[in-house]
Amino acid sequence: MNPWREKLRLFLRNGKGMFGLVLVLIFFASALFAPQLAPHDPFQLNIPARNSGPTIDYFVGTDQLGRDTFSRVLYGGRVALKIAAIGVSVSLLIGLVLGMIAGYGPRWLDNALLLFFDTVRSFPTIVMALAVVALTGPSLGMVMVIVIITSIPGYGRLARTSTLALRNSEFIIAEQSLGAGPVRVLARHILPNVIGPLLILAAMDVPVVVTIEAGLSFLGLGVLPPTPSWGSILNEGYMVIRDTPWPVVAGGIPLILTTLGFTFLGEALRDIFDPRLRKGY
Amino acid sequence: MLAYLIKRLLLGVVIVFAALLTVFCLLHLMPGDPVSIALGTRATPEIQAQYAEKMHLNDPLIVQFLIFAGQALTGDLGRDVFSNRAVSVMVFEQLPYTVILALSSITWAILVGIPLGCLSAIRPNSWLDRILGLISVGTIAIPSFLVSIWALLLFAITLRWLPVIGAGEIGDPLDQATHLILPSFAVGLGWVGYIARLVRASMLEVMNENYVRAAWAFGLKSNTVIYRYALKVAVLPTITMIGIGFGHLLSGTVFAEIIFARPGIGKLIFDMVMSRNFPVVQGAVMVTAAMYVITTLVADLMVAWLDPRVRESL
Amino acid sequence: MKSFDEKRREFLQVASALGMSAALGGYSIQTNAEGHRVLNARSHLKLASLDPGYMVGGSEITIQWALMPRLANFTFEGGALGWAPSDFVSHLSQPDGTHIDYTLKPGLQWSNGYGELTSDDVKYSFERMLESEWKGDWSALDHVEVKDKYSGTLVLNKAFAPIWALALLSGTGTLVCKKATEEVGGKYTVDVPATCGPYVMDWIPKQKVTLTHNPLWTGPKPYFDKINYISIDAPEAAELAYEAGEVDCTKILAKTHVRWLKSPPPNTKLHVVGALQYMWMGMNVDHPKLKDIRVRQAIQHAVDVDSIIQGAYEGASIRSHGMVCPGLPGQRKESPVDYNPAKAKALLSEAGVSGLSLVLKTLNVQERILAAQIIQANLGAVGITVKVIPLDSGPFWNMGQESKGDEWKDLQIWLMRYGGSPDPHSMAQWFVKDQVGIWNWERWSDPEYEDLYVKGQLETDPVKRNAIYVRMQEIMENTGAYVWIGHEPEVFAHRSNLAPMFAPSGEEDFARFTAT
Repeated sequence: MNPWREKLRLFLRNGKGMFGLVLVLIFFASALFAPQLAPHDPFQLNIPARNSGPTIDYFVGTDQLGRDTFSRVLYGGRVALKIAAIGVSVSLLIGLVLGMIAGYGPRWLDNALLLFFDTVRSFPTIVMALAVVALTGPSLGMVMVIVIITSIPGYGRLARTSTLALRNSEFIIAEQSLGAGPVRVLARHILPNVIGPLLILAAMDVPVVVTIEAGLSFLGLGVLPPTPSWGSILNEGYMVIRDTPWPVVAGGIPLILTTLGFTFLGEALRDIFDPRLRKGY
Repeated sequence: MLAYLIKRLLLGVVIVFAALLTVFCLLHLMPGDPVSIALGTRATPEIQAQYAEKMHLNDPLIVQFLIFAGQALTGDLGRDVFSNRAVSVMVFEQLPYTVILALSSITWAILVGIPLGCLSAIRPNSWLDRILGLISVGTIAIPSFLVSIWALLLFAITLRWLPVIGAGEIGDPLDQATHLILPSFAVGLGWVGYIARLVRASMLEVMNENYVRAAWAFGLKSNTVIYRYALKVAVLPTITMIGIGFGHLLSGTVFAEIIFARPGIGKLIFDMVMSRNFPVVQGAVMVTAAMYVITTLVADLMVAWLDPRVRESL
Repeated sequence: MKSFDEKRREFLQVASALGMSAALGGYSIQTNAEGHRVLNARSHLKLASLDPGYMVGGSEITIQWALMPRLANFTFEGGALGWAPSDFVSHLSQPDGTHIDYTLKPGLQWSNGYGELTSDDVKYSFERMLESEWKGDWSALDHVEVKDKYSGTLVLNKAFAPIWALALLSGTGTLVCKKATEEVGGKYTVDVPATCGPYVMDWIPKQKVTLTHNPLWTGPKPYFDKINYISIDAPEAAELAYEAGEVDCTKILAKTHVRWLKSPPPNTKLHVVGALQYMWMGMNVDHPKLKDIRVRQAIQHAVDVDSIIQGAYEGASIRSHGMVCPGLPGQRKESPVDYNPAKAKALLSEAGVSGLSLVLKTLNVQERILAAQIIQANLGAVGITVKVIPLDSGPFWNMGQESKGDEWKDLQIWLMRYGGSPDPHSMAQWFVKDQVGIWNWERWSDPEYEDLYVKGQLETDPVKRNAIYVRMQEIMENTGAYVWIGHEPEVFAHRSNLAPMFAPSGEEDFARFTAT
């Protein structure tokens, strides 16, 4: 039987995976279609109606300036999506390239890159983020850069491992003896085989990235007001937690669901496509 | 073994050095005058001049960096410009609190996570396994700062069972322990799930290994097999993971310190960042990097010690 | 006891204590295991300096009052603010407008072996203020004449009634030890070289300051044996700590004030200390985008101040029309500038401005950030795009200062709050021409203002004085650079059985705290 069809069948039968897929699709849909789905303008103030609980008009109530929390949560998803999309894809690309170079290139380059990966990986993200913000001030752009830099080692190491495994395989040696240069070998032969595991890692990396942004925005280091992001909604909600608990709940739940969704999805894919990845992280 | 140790130590030094370099570069790559950037704007012209002189800002960059690195390695991390206290003193005052929080978080996570993982592994795919699996994923999915907020709200404010803020009276261990409960719960919760799953996966793998099956075949009791062989080996990746994940642990403690108003390195860095007091931030970041290096080293050494296979290969 | 004029009495009525206590339950001030009376109070300021010439204020003043000598104490007699000789003097009087006589009590010892508190210390302490960061408060001092070891006279260069409220009764009236301070180079930060007062301090940085009895102190012993002045940054955390019994006295936010008026925690009293702060949105008249006065006037008409009072302050702030605080001479009760978006749009098009975008900076305190977002929405409604940038106190307090870099050139609009002493002069002093580039970040000046500023200090007739300061605020508003918002009152919450003593500007005088 066609191996792809077999894997697809396995995937469809994997309860966790399907559940994850549903959550992920909800995430994408609500973020992409937020302008259509949101019942209110997320920036519209309504001071007299502030800090209210759920009503027909405001599904999960309002925040301290009377803005609709539900609409803000939907729009917050767009920030999460942006960070996830840009952050993950850029770090994946860079990690991929660096990892392939490390795996394929000379020993000293490999060691240098490994050192780079280990150093970056070692830093607690928050601490580095704080240090950078000390100099630049809060901004979403900086959050993005930090997120990208701290994610690169994960992809890099994985790409390196896969490249190393393939490096000495017969068809590569064959290509080399035919005179193929390193770039060609990497691009046409190694890359297609390496990218798979990286994509799976990307799926599991999304929640990490989104949580980092939420954490930094919660500290006031990420998005600037009045932009809603799940982290800033949590931050504002924390300030009024004794007036109304709803923003804190409403801001936290999409984070949890998104994390669950991507984690389940990623693990299901990993189990089906590449059980070797189990040992990794 | 000795060669390995030395190699790891050297690697550690390099990493701390790289951290220093990064922090140093950050300051000088930013557009604008490094002095105003570093000291923020509360500093008077006299303080700025002092700083510029102390940092040898008129010397070439390489010289500056070497002086900076040299000072750091001898323990002089500079001075806080506003209170004129030594940065190293400020950092080491706060360090114990973070260490205690990190240790207690990881301890309870281990004490709960390993048995959970074990149980799951013994009866894979049973009801118990599935429920524990869900709990594991659930705890990982909630970001630690969210756990901190909700825990604070529930246990400290609503139920009034536990104290709200701070680290407790100095010299009163019981008081300090009570103040530790909520923060370490919040920081450790995510790790419980993580460790449980890790232990489960490793144990399942080990239990499929030939030597374990052989032990079973020879009639050794189940429990013996589990505890003497499988668990011991399964614990190893856990230790490695903890070592690597120490950076994440530190992130978790930063949030807990801010939300519970506890003293600690995380809170120090946060407060100093907010007041643009870069010299202290610099010192604290370096100490953090050193801490990370030590932790990974200890973790790796423990693995080397416990795993006969690794020991052999050294 | 001396008292000031009628207006101050009115001011104090505004600032009177609101008593609210539930019957039973809740926490109260305790004695600890050793029978000592302990108070846990909350401090919100990070200590940077305990030198009266170079401090920031707030909690730093509180600590100085516990540790250091001063000539006078503030009093509230029959609702009026007055002064009385402190425990450090045996005589204090003002024979005429330009002389203040004092006689110190003999035998008051400085710590660390620096000997007695003498007239030399008084002369040194006050004359050094003339070169310090707080010299504005002491501008009327000419010199201090030393008569003998314990007595002397403060000689003023002009009759200046506010010298009490601004200088002698405030944080800048603290006396330092001449020998000890000179030894450390003329100024210090958190390590006080010598103290002489009812308490001594022990400091755990970033956590708390512990005040305990000073063994060298020979004066009256304060009620509390030990005070833990605990540092809690976030106001919400401080309120939680109060509710949980971990502190017994803390400042609270406006919205908490509103909430606790309706349903207070048990055994709690709320104490409105005084509305001596004035908050506004300022505009830099030198900035190219704001140079046209019509643009500034448009902004004045576009901001809905009432919604800021409601939305950001839960109605607990007093709407202002100028910088002079309620109850003081010169408080401006109304203004012709109204909330009128249509007029704002008309002014903008008259000025030929469209698609304007501005940067609004503010201290990153929740209430101000909320106010900033409301302003952002208001200005958006008339076609001005606003970007809000919250800043921490370090960078914030230097934005408009020429001495701290170039940021002042780019400053556009910002939310600002100053605090003052109970005299309109203390509010007016920051907006003279000399203050441009220091604390006059709007960078305007006006000859009539300068003239009135001088007249206001000398005028004794209350009606005329009132008119002077009202006119000064009118001039300020006419520059178009000010959107007056409110006076944020300082409110403390404390246990019912605590009898605190707060200065009108919100600092605690711990030596005079008692409990029942």
